[in-house]
Amino acid sequence: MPGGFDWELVLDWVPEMWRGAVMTIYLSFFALILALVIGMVVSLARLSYIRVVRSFATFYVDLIRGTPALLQIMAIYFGLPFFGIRVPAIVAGILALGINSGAYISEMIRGALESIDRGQMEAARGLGMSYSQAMRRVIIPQIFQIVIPPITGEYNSLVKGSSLLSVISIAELTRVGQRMLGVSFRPVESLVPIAIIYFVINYIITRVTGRMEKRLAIRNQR
Amino acid sequence: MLPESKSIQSKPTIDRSANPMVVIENLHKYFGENEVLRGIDLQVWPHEVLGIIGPSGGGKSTLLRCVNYLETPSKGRILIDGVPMALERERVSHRKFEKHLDEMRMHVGMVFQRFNLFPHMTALANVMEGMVTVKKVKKKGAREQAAAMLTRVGLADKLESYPGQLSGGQQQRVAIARALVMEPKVMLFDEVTSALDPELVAEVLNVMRELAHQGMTMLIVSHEMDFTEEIGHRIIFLDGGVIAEEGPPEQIFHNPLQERTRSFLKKVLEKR
Repeated sequence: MPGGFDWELVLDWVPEMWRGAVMTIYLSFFALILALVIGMVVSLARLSYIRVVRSFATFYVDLIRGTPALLQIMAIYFGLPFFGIRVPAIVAGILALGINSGAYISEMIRGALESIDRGQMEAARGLGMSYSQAMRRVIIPQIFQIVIPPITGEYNSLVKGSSLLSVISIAELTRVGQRMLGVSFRPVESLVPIAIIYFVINYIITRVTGRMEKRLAIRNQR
Repeated sequence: MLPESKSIQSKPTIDRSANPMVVIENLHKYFGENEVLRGIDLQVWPHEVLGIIGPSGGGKSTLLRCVNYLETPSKGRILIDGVPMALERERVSHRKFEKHLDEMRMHVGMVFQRFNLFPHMTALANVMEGMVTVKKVKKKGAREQAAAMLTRVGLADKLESYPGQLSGGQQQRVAIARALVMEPKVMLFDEVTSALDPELVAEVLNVMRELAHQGMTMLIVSHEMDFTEEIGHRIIFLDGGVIAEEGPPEQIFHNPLQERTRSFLKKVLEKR
């Protein structure tokens, strides 16, 4: 490292990094919310008795899993204006990440739904509950504990994956690192702090959800 | 806890001139190529306890599960108190078909071999669930009824316990309470003691015995031959998807007319 580690440079960039970190958390959080909603709807659609609904949901999952996320981001960011829909880059970014992650989450939820003993649905239907009542009251409450670990993993991926949004000029963490590098030409000072911030964000997420999981396990006492 | 001699308490009398509570007409059920039920015709009268025995794979559970449409019959009809369990699928929308079925299922209580309690709810919540969600009973009233029902099955001190904290026998009694609180017209019991440790069987049978004496119409699939003989008004022996023999318990268990009934009972009794 010529001239040793340049602490001053890092300190100068702290406000930028802070804003970048906040943007990364913001993007990944709202993308996760969107992904959870999409994932729930799509997983239920894949279990639907209506064939068209099932096929459409399967197609969505296959399409998203079969194409690069970067391409999906660009398709939404540059594609929406083509249809006359103008949205800010941040909205396009959240949409793209959420739509991408939703496909993976739908598979996690579907797996969890299918892992619930068949007798649970039978007992609920036997009492006279409709399919949707049985899902809402009996089946879905039981999947939380099962899906928390994989969804935590997905949330970690979203935090890292949000770095892809730097291609559509969103000033999230990676973008800040790139700019810092472009200005200073000092890769270590530019990239190491960024990596540490990513790590800390993900570490906190894993810890918090781990605690949630434990609390659910105690409540459910199986 | 089981009575020494059978039928010490008199069974409620059955009025066979009344309208049957359950009618099963020409019931067939296929699983793929395999025909599990091959034309069952059966009537069960109000207050009657019908025991269903037979070798495994003979179609006992499938018959019971067809009564409340957990298995959809391939052919034939089921009537509960004169009303068809299901509408004709071709004639009504999917929504209407399901809605009718949900309403009919309220009248048919079912208890399963594996209890199938909802693990994320307390015993009380398990019993309240159907009342609140299906019958739209107010929570307060439902709670009182559920507590009373759990008390009736001897679980007054377990209202707030989760299924995971209960023994198999206690779980099965919660399951019976959960079905009873819906005030069904008929109860189906599908090998409800088969998953229990031997010392826990009696507590469940006692609840069922009580229910039979109170006049509940019951269809019982069971391997508990003594118990079935004791409380059953009539026994059917199901083998190869048909009713191979039907008659009062004394006939079926002591003087069976059919050779296959005799050899089945011999095998079962030898095992003990």
